[in-house]
Amino acid sequence: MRSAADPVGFRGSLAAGARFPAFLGFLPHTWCDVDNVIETLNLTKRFGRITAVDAVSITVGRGQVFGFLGPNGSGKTTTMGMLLDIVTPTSGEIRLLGEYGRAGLHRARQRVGATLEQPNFYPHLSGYDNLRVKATIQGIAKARIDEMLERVGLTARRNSAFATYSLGMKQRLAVAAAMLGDPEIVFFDEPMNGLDPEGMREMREVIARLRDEGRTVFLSSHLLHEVERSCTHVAIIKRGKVLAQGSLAEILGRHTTVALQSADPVELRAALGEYPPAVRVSQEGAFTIVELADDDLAAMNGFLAGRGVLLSCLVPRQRTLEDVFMEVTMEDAVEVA
Amino acid sequence: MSALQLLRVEMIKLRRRTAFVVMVALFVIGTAIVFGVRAILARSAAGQAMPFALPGSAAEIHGVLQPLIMFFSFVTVVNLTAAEFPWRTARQNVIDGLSREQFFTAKLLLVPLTTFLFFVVGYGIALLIAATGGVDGALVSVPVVKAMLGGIVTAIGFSSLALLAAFATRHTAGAIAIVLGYLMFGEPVLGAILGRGGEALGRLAAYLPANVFASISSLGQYMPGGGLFFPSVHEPIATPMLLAMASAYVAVFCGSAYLLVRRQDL
Repeated sequence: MRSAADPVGFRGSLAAGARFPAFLGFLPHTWCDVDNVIETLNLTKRFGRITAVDAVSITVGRGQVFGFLGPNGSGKTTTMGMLLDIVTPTSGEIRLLGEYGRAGLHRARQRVGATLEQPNFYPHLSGYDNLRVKATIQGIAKARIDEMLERVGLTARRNSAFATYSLGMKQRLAVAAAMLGDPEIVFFDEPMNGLDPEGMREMREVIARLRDEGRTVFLSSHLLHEVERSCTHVAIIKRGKVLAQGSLAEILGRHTTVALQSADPVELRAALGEYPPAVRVSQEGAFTIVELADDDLAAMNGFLAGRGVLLSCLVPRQRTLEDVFMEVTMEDAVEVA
Repeated sequence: MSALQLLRVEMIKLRRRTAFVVMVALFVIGTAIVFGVRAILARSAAGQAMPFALPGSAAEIHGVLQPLIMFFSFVTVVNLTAAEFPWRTARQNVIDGLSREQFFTAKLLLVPLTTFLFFVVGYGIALLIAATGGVDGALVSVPVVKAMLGGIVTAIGFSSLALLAAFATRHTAGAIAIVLGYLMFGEPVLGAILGRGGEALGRLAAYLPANVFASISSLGQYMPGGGLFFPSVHEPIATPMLLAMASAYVAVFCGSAYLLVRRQDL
C-alpha cells in the first residue's frame, strides 16, 4: 500500500507479509517484496544548507531498465552514491535486494556492479590487474577476468596500463568490472558521456543484453532520447526531488496530445477551455495543440461538435520523453515561482 | 574478508606503482651509499681512528637509520593512502564490495608493514656492510636492540599520524606537509609555549607526541642513567610510561582516521 507518507510502501509491505518482528532483523527478510530490488523512502542528503537530494522515494522492480533522468546537478549521482554507500544519507531509508541496515546493505552490494561518474581505476595498473583488484575483493576466479575482457573486446590490451586506454576502452573496462561478479543489479552513471556514435551503440547493446539476461539496470542520464531507447521505466528528478516516475508507457501516456484544425481557431480554443479533460491548449501555426488528461478523442470531438465547432483535422501526436521531461520540469518551475 | 585478503588487494595495487618503487629504491641506494662510504672511510689510513665494525658501530647505525626509516615509512603510507581519493578508487573499492571499515583496515595494515619493510631492509644493508669491518661477539648490544625496537614504535607513530593526515586531506603533498609542519614547527612552538608557563606545564612538553616518539627510540633511554632530557624535565620518563603514551597516540591517530572514513563521503 502506498501513501503520501509512505510512497514506496515500506510499512505496508512489512505489515502485510511480516514473518518476523522488526527486532529480529538478523533473520532473513522474507517479508519484503522480492520483485522490488531497489527501494528508497524519503532519502535525503544535505550538504550544509544545500539539499542535494530531497525525500526521494523510488522503487525499481527486478528486471527493469530504470532510467534516472535529470539535468546536471539535479541529484542523480548523489542518490546513486547513497545507494552504493559512498555517500552517507542525512535521512531516509534504503532497501537493496531486500536487505537493509548497514550490514544488510553491505551484503546486498556484493550482488551489485556499478561505475559512478567515470571509470574509476588505478592508472598504473593494467586492465587485467584492475579487474584482479575487484576479483580479489569479491573472491571471483581469475578465469572470469579473462572471460569478461574477451566479452568487452579488451583481450589484446589486457596488459596495457589503464592510463593508456582510450575513453571508449575505459568505458568498456568499466562494463567488464561491473559485470565481473555476475551482479543482479548494474548501476551506470551517465554511461553515454563522451562516447562517439559507435561507442553509444555498443553501450545500448550492452544494456539490451543485460536486460535480456534478466538483470536490473539502473542508469542515470541527461540524454533523454538515449533513455527512451533503452529504458523500461524512468524517474525524473530535478533540484533533488523526484517529479515523476513509472513505466515508460505510463510516463509517455500521462497526457494525450492532439493537433486540431477548424475554420475558427479562436472559437476552437474557447471551446477547449471549457472541456474538463483539456490540460493545456496552445497554438502552433494553423494547428491548435491540446493535451488531454484522458485518451477519449471521440468524447472530445462530440463535445466540440456540441459547441458548434467542427474539426477539419484531428491528429494524435506521439509524445517523446523530451516532451514529458519539459512538461514536468516546467510544471515544477511554475510551482516554485 | 580476512586481513590476508585485504593485504592481497593492497599488493596487487602496488604492481607497477612507480612512486612506491622509487621510494624503496631511494632508501636502498641511500642506505647503501651512506654506510658504504662510511665503511670505505674507516678502512682508509685517515679512518683508522673511527672503525666501522660490530657491535661498536651499531649505535651509530641506529642514529643514522632511525630518522630515515621514520621518514620513508610515513611518506609511503601517505602516498599509498591519499592517492586513492583523486583516482576515485577509494569509492570504487567500496562499490566493488569492501566496507568502509575494510578499506580503512587495508590502509591501517600498511602502517606496520611499511615500517617493517624499511626496518628490515635498512638494518639489513647497514649491518651487513658494518659486519664486513669485523664482528666482535654479538652483532648488536642490548641497549641498541631496545632503541631499534623503540624506533619501530616511532615509525609506526608517525605513520599513524600520516594515515590520519592522508584521510583528512586526501592529498599526498598536503598530508606530508602537515606531518612535517607539525614535526618542524608545530611541536617546537607548542613546547616553547608550554615551557614559558611554569615548571608543571613545561614538564608536559616531554609528553607531546614527537617528544615521546623521539625519547622511545633514543639510545640514551636504554643506557644506565640515560634518558632524553628536556630543559624543564629533570629526570627521564620511564620506558613503560613512554610506551603507554606512544600507544595512546597511535590509538588516537588511527581512531580519528577511522572516524573520518566512517563519516565522510567517499
